[in-house]
Amino acid sequence: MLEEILIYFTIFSSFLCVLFFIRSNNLLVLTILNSAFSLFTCVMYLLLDAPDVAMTEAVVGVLVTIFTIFTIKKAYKNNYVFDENLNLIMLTLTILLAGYLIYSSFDLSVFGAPIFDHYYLNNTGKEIEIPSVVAAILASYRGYDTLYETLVITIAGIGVLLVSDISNQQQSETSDILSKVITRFIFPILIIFAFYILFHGEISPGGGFQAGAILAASIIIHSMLYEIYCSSSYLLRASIFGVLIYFLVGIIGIFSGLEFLNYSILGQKTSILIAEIGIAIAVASTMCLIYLGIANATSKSEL
Amino acid sequence: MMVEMISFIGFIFIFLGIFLCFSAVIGCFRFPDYFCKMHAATLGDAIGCPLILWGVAMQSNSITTALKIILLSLIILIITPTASYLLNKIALKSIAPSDSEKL
Repeated sequence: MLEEILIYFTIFSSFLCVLFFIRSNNLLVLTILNSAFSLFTCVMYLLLDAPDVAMTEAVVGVLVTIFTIFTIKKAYKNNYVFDENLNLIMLTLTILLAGYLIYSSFDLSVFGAPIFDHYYLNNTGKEIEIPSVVAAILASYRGYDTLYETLVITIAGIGVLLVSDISNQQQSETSDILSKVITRFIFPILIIFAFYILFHGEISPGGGFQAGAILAASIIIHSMLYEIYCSSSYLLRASIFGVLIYFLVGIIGIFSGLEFLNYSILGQKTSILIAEIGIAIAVASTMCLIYLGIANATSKSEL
Repeated sequence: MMVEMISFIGFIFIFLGIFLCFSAVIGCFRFPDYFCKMHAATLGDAIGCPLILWGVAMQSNSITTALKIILLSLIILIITPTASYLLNKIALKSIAPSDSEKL
């Protein structure tokens, strides 16, 4: 009962966020509303027993907020105010998209309805031999999808590299002692937490995407305060290297006469772990690449 | 007897934490300017949340859960004052003293 009330409360709050989103015309206010929306959806996922998605939503919410604020700082020196005139084409497109989403939401199953197809829930323990069903579906049953999702993330990094002009200009450190000391204290804890999530992906909620995002967030926090000496081409190579690890796990299956992404040579558990490590490397280096691309032109001395 | 004692102390901690969080929310709405509101919000975050977490840790059954919750509260105790310090520093820098009534 209490859980249902909380779920409806989070849905109502995110709806309120969307309403204020429409009303506001200041980019900074929109950023804050966006992170509030992300927080409420994160709590909603947690209440709906989807901790993997909630973790991803939390970290991605933080990263998107950082990216948006840096973009605003770089693009608009003063407060940017939107044009009051409505763009008719965008309005029609938005209404069409909203109508399509509402129409397709009728196909979803009713909230709280029982699941009839128990295949994954019943067979994960026997076939994959790991407890977490989500990790089994992500890395083994739907291995192709995850492989090409990782590739898409790398391609996004390449796109940011093409759009932004990343020069290796030196940036001055901030003079703020307190935040530097606290960051130096927090940084190892964040790294340990990221690896904990990475290596416990088969047992508890978590996995490659979440661990990579947390790793990237910790590196970004560190590089906001200290000088960073990382070239973007190395980050791009690391990202491609992560995808390559995943490909190699699949190719082992081909060389032993089986299909691509057949895990039976190395064993399901080892293969899933190696694939998750590759995903984590790809996601972390791509996020750092995007951060470098956005933030390199802004000065750090204002913090 | 000992377990009941600890869980009762945990109940008191949770009650104190909820009281502090509630007063922080009231302070956020009622206080006149930015820095007073910041003080109220930081109080609720930095003392209220760890008190609630310690209370929950005292009432939990297993010792590993309690240790995890205490680690979480330590991280909150470190991060929240830093965040409010940074916000206040930026506010002090970016706003001229003559504008402080407008906040």
